[in-house]
Amino acid sequence: MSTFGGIEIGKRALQTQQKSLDVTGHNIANANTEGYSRQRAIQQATQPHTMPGLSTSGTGAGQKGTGVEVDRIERMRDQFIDNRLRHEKHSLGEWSAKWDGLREIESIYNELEDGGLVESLNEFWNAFQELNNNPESMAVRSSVVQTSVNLTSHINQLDKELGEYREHIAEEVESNVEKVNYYTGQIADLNNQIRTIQADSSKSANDLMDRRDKLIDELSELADIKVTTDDLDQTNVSLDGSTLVQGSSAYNVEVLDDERIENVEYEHYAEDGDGNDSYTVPEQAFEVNGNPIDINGGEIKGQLDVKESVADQQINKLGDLARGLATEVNSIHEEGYDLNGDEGLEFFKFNADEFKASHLEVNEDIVEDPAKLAAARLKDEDGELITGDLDDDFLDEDGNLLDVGNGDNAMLIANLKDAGDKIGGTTFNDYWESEVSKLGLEIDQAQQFKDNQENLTQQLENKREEVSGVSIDEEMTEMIKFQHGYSAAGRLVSQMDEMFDHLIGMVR
Amino acid sequence: MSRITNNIMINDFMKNYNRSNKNMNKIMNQLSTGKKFSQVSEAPIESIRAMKYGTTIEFNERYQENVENGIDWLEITDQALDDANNTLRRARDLAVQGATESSTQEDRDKIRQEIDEIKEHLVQIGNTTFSDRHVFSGTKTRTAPYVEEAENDNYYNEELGDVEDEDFEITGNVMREIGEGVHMSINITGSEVGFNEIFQTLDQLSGALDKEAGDDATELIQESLGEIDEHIEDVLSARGRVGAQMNRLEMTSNRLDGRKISYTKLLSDAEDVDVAKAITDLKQEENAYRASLNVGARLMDVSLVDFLR
Repeated sequence: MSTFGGIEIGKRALQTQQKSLDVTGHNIANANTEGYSRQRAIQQATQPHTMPGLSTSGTGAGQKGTGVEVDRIERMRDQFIDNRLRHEKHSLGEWSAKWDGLREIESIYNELEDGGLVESLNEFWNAFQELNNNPESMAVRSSVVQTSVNLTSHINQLDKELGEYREHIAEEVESNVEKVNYYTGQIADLNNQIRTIQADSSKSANDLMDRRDKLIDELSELADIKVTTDDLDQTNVSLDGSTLVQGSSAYNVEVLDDERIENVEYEHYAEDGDGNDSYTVPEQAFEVNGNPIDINGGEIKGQLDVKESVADQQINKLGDLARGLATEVNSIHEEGYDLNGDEGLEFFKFNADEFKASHLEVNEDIVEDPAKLAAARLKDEDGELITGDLDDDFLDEDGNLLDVGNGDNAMLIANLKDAGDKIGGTTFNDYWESEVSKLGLEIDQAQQFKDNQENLTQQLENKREEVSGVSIDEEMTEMIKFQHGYSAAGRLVSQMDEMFDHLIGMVR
Repeated sequence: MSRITNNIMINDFMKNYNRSNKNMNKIMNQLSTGKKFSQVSEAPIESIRAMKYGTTIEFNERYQENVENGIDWLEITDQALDDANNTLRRARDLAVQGATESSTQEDRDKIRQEIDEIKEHLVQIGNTTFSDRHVFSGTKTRTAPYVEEAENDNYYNEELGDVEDEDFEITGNVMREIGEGVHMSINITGSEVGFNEIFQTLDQLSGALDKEAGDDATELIQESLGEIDEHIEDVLSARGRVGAQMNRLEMTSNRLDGRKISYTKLLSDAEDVDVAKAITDLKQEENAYRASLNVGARLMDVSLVDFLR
């Protein structure tokens, strides 16, 4: 031990306390940085000298301390909490997306406010009641036709809005997949940097690891990724068994526009009578490196589910209602007779080959001439329904209907409102109300799941804060601790200085 | 020992703050709209029930309208029949006068003229309209059922169909729906009243009065007198039926009124907010909100930094 060994100890102490103080400063500076984990300078006594002691025998050796150093800077992080949190985030993302999306469908339907579909249906039934009361009046007939056109426009409009919303979600899915690719690219990049830095085993890339962890958190909310970390601190990410990140390489998820054929069996409407039709439903498929994958969690999964719900509403729910209405109203309307003494026409028509809700319309001939509304329902003396061309008894000199005051057919159509076996085993109103109610229950459920997941993730985030979060008070305490350590080390150096002063003065 | 960091406190505070705000916002919306919910998902069961009640009330009004329309129609019919009854009584009085042996040919000519006018008046009654619709024409409402000049003793309008047929009758029920699935006919046809027969009797009476006085004529007049009595009976019984129909409609109207009140109450129970409860809830929520703000402001303000020189 040299004479100046003491000064060296003092210097090391000063440096170590300063370094520790710096780490504290870094913590304080990042107290509000999202994803930051607090760091701690681990101090360690330096390698001691072995030296013979005066009081001991020549062979005995004493250990003499040589001061302190910062061994490493540690990141306070609990990997177990991270894993659990990410797992819960898959569900949180999924249910949040579902809740958001289903509410959008609900606001398209907007059933409780003025202008819901049930209201349009009621207006339709009501119009036919009025037609029964005044089958002779052209004014009433025109208003019945107008109300019917309002109903079909309403149904068309809902179908159109649902279709637009479905396209919108498909775009959102694509932009979320882009986000996934962006994140995986960043993760691979950080993996590379971390590996380079940690090639020197004394270094730990704490801040870069924080950034990487934050990216993985965000990725977890988008899709049900699996994360593993290898011995070299490289994070590997996979999705449905396909690798997204392997070390410093990232592989993109590709979105493929696909379609599937959905067969719809009509309980009702079918021009050719087979009661079947098929729909082409646009779909999105995913692949990585040419391998098809499924996304089964996270926001993307939620959005895919909502997209399915929208398609189901369009094709099955709203579609069934449109087809059911057309079938039932037409079959009655065709049994009646109009003011011209002709048999009733098809009342509702589909203006395209597919029997979709968007194609439903009121027969143009009737719209142009409301006299063609077949309000009358004629029976012969035996009470049998009359069909086919009318004989002269029912017609006036000009060949027009005599029984213009007969509104029985209009009433029969109006009574469809209460017919309990017309669609899905119930009335039209009830059918739609129960579909809206089911949707409401699904939203309610999604909200509960979402709230639960929010609570869970918040608890886990708090747990993570317990380990990794910066507490200002704590850092202040640390600061004072290192400050005192620093001052004391300073005193030590000045004490040494005084000693040397004496020593050198003696030689003079 | 678990560490509590500043961020945990801030997070928890924000969570509670948001929850309070969300609850208060919900109550505020309820109070300002007066409704418990504005979307189905807020109360899937209750809101659908409210929708059903709404529909019931709407159609209750519809039936009420139908009933009133029916009552109007029947009132017109009743007035017409009342008029017909009075007119027939006058015809009867005249026939009695004509039947007396003391009446001169001159008297009987006058009587005959009046009888002819009475017939014309009754044809008009038979063609009574209610907003351009002939109430006695069955469902052929735009066709006048009777003509003033008989053809082969038949006063039916040829346009009604095969009026030559002996069994010809005006048919067709004008129906109104007065309750869910409850249909009721509100018309009575001219044939049911027997207008054609009335006109034929009056023709016969007129013919008899035209004849020279004598047993033959008196006998014919007596015969017509008997028939007029029968017609008066027929008209009275038709009026009775109209009266019964009107009674039924009045009763239905009362029942519909009652139903409207009870369903309006049910609807209100289902969807209207209980203001007293909402305000109490709001107060409670507000207290919690104030408390959380107060505590948050106190705790988040304190730091070791304040105590270091």
